[in-house]
Amino acid sequence: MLRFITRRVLTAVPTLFGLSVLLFFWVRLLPGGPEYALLPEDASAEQRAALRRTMGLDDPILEQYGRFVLQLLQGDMGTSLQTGRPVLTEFLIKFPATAELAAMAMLFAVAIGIPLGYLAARRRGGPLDALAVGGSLLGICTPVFFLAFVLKLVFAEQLGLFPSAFRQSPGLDATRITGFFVVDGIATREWDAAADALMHLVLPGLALSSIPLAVIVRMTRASVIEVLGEDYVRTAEAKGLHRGTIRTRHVLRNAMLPVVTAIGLLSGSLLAGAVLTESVFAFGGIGEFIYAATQTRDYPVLLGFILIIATVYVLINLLVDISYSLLDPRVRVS
Amino acid sequence: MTSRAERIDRLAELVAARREDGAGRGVWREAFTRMRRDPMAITGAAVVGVFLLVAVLGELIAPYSPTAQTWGTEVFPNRNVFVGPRAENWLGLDNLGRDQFSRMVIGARQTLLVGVVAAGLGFTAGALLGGVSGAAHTLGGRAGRRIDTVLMRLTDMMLALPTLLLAVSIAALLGQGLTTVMIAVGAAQIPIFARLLRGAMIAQGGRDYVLAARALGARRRRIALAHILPNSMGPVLVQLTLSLATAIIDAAALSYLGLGNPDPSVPEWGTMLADAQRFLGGAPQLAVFPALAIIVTALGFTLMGEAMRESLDPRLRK
Amino acid sequence: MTRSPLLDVDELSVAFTRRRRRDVQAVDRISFSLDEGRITGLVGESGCGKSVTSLALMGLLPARGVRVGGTARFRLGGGGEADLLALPPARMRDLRGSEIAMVFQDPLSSLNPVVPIGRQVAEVLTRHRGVKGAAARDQAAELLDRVGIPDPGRRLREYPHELSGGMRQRALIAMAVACRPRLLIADEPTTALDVTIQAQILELLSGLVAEEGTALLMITHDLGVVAGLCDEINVLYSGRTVEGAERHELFAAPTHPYTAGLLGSIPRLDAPRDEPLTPVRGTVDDAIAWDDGCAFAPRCDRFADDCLGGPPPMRERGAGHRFRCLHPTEPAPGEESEGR
Repeated sequence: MLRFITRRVLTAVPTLFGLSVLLFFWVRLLPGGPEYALLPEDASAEQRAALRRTMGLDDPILEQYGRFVLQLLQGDMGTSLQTGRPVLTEFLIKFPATAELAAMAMLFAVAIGIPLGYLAARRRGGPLDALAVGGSLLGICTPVFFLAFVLKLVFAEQLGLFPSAFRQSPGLDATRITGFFVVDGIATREWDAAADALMHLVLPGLALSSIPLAVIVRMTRASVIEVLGEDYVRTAEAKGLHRGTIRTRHVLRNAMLPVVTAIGLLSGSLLAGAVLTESVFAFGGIGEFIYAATQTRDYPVLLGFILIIATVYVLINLLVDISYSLLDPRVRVS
Repeated sequence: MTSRAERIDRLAELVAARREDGAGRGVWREAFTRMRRDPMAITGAAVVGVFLLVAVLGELIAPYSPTAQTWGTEVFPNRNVFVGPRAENWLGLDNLGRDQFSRMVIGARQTLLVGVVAAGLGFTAGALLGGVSGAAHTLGGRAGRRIDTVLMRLTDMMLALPTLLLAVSIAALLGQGLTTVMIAVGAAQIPIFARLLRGAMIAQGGRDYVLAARALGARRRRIALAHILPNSMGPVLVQLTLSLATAIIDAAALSYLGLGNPDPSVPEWGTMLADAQRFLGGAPQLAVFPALAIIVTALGFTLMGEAMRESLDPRLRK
Repeated sequence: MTRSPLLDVDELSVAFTRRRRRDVQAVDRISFSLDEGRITGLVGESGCGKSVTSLALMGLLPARGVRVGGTARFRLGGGGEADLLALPPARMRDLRGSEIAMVFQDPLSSLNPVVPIGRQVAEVLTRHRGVKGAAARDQAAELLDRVGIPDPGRRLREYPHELSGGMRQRALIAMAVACRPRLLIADEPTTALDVTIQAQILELLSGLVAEEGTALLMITHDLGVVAGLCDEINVLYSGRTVEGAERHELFAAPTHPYTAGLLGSIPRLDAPRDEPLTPVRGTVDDAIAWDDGCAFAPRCDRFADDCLGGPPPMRERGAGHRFRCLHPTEPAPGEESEGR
């Protein structure tokens, strides 16, 4: 078991290292360096060259990469050209918003997707099945940002059920501890603050959950259909076990295995989808910031953020693989 | 008393009558016959057919020029004055007083182009990567496995970069434009194709017929190209169909982020949808029509892909 | 005084209905009965309907697309009688695992891969006997010991993939006999196993039956398996019984050409060395519909014109020896042998 985890962790290292190389050179290839983004349009060529020199952008590229890795290992990811603050600080400020949003979306996807997928499989060919399959296809085929706009228009602007932007109502006096507004509200017992933050999460969370929800419904359905045809389910029936026991211990425990893996892989698309959702709801997370960074050629931010996101993604999948090995004894031996 | 030959003929007839389904037809042919009866596949094919027809005929269908601001004096976006559907302009006018229906029709071609080029790019590069990896893994011995490991680490890295972020950074590198969108969306699809083909080839590589071919001394290149590859293409072709849908949706997302086609003279659904978000309050139809077009077209391709997957998957056959 | 048999199956039929196509008659009016302490064999090639028969008796056929006919009267433990084919699903669920149990063919796929063996044994006890926790675990260990699994305390915590094929089949048997069922159905319990293990499993089964007085329905394609084991044998072909008799009677005087063919294809140590084996030619797919005549006709050497005049009737030959053939290999009483 420990060997499995060690080996799995070790395979993640070269992936992350390769990513840092790839991204570093990639970002340096972007045209129009920061000297164009930072200086006014009428700045002279000498001024631009001087800025490049002081930023070390004219040094040999390998030297730049070496410096980058050294700093990286010390936890220093450089300074944002837009705000002048350290990249890591920027990330830590923006991350809770996106993490909260992604968690909300995943919560919707899992809480609705797994029961719906299970019921669709059990009533295969029935009206609920048709609805689940049709709905999930529609979910996959609807552009996320359009869905976000429609939700905002209908439920926020027309019906006024939910707030239309930001993470918390502007006038609210809330204590900040972790940056996760819902968690902060609960920790400080400022229930109104927590509820307010939660309300702000509903619409963007729904919009962002459309694709993971659709994928989870489809995977659960397909997986349950397959497991229902397995011999061991027939054995469980032959033992005369109660329906509930068969459902949880024999059907769902096996059917959830591929779904768990899918949840890990979906976390990546959630972080990316956040770019679109956050901009519609002015949510102020990392998605919006990355988009701004591409517009201003903010190399350190672009490099740092994508690298951190990729690391988070690799780590999430690492955790998923390890929890998978806890769920499936067959993986542990190999 | 009948003759023995007659009796045997009669028996053969009865046996044949009991064996209703002829066996031994090709997988693809059987899949095709199955798809012809599947309502999902028929719907998908019909949608895709109409879409292709509109994209090809274009100017023959569009009643007006997509770029002429013929009715420019009737629309004032800043005063929230828009013109909705009417007899003259079936889908109304856009914010510059151009015929929305004509723009939709002409836009189909660009959308198709983006989808086909992007999915084709992802397919070609991904299949190449996955094919080399899969062949190396199954037939290349120890050195082959090493090649496979390196290539798969590379796809792992691409997979770790969230699709849209990859696309955004590619778009940032190449500048704004339709080509950028196609390359960015296509590149994001590469790892999926690579993993699928490699997985299928490795699965096929362990089959008895491959072992038999190797035992008979067939050359490795021939085994890979003539035996393993054709039998591994099923899931990849399914993914290609599904990718056409994803490409159209992803392209719309990039347009929304302002990385799409900057040239207003060439209408494209994604750009039209992105532009129309600004007027969602006053003229929702400007966003709804391209959005519906994108959704329906993507659904068409997805339905076809899903029907194909089901008809090829022996486990899902009844 | 004659007591009614433990299970009396009368004219059991199972048809699979298909959309826009003809139904498939998997089992066609077969009758047999089972008694305590006796082992009854159901023999035939794959596709003859023997597994469908067992699933029908267990109430495990899918609810949709299946039509079941006939009766299967089962004498209940607490007295009284019930038709297994007509019981409401909830009642059937109570009987399964406690009064009627089943052992399946492929032990690996028949065990849940992600649940420890002990838990899979204990859950039957929990369900039908209300035994829980440590008590259930102890009883499960006892059961594993009883079916010949060494070191049961450790095996309880292991998963199916960690056990050998024979051990897995033993574990499946432990689950089946956990609640001392009065009827045990074994569907090809040795097919997936090595030859050396096969004998051990058969011995285990017959031992359990003898000790507990269980009725065992043994389903197999292998006449060799039933030869040493079964008290009574029914041979099935294409969904119908073609011959049924006590074991000694059947082996001494195989009357249906199919039975004779099956026996002729078994290698025997006591046969002359130069006597060739005579396989039954063709496959089960070379069958005709019973309504057109004898389904076995296409593969039969004794086939004549009248074989195509509808289904041949069931005939009797001595005490309890039934067969369905117009041109039997052994003469029926009062008939001359055709002597071909």
